[in-house]
Amino acid sequence: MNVLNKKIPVAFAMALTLTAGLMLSACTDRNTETGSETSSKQETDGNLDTLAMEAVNQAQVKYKASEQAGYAWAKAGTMLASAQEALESGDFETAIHQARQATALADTSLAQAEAEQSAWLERFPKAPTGASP
Amino acid sequence: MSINTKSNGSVSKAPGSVIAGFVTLFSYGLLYGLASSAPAYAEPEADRQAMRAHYEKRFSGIPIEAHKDGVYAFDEDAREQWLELEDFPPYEIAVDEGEEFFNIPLADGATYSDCFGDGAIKSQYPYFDEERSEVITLELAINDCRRQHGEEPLPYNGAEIVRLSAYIAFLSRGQIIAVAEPVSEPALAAYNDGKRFYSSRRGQLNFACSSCHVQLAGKRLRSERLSASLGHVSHWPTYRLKWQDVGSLHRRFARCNKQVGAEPFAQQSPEYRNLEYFLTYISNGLPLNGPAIRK
Repeated sequence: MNVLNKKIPVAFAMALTLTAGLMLSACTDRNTETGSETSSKQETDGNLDTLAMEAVNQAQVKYKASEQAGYAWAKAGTMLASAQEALESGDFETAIHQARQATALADTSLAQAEAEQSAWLERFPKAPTGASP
Repeated sequence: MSINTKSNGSVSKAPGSVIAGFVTLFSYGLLYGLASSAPAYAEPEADRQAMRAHYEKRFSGIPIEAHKDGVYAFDEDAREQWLELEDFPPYEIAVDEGEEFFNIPLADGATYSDCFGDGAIKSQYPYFDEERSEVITLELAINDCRRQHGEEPLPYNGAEIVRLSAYIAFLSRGQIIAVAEPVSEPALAAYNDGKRFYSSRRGQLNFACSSCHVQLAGKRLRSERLSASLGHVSHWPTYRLKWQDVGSLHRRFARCNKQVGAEPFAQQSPEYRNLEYFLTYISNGLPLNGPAIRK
């Protein structure tokens, strides 16, 4: 011990202690981080579940509206069916992706329905001059 | 929006989202209702004259009546192939089967002739029934007849009703299309609904019936020539080479809708019956020539 005490300066011993402390601290931090990642993943999975259901429900509402307007698009229906299938099988990321695409398509078809309220009238051939009214 | 998950994995919506859904549906339903009752700018007879004038100009030198043969009125190569097919028409078997169905007694012993006489009655359809306030097509009348005589109605996408109407179409060849001009408010509403459907762009490809058959009539869409709408209704049911079978006009409507990426309507739905009513009215004066053959 005396030899050690003589050969290792106090400053070096302090530095060693500090390094060891930092290493332990890093390990502890790392352990904490891994724990929070796990917890975060659990939360994300929970959120994905809800997000997927919300996305599918929104797509359903929009698609039904486009059907009711008489302007449903086949692709929107296919995407919605895929989203529902993915949701049921627990593939939430795919469900969200497909449902959002279905919603976007249904939104566009509804915009088409709105535009066609008056646009169609301009497309019909005009009666020739002199024709009976 | 909060969402509940049922134990079976199905999704149920919280009241808030249900209400939001109803509001959205109601809004678009209202929007569609308003569109349906939108006034037309022209009377039916003016529409018919306008269509005839449009095609006379576009297909100069081709008589209007020739459009009963679709693209074969103006595509000589296709016409030659078609005439060769007519030497041994593939719809013949369907007509023979239709004749058999026509003469099989119904549940109470009556036959279709109790409803349709000798069967040469296609030119009487479609018409607007003021009492029922709806368009009556031949297929609807066939099922009405069955119900009157104790039979279940036939499915509209089934083979039997197509064969029956093929036989009736065959017996009615040469009759002139003569749909009465819609005059009453409900009849005009049905006609205008059909006209609106015909002229409205739909589907992901954003095409109306009129896009192909008015604006682009006579031109090529990939390898196919596009026919005029006058005469579109004259030759149904038709044997389509693509189907390898005889099919109905409404099946063709559904196929057109699918081709542009739109969800089709059911055969004999009010939408398709009103479309048939409009198309038949504007084809007044053309002869019936069904069944026929088409690609």
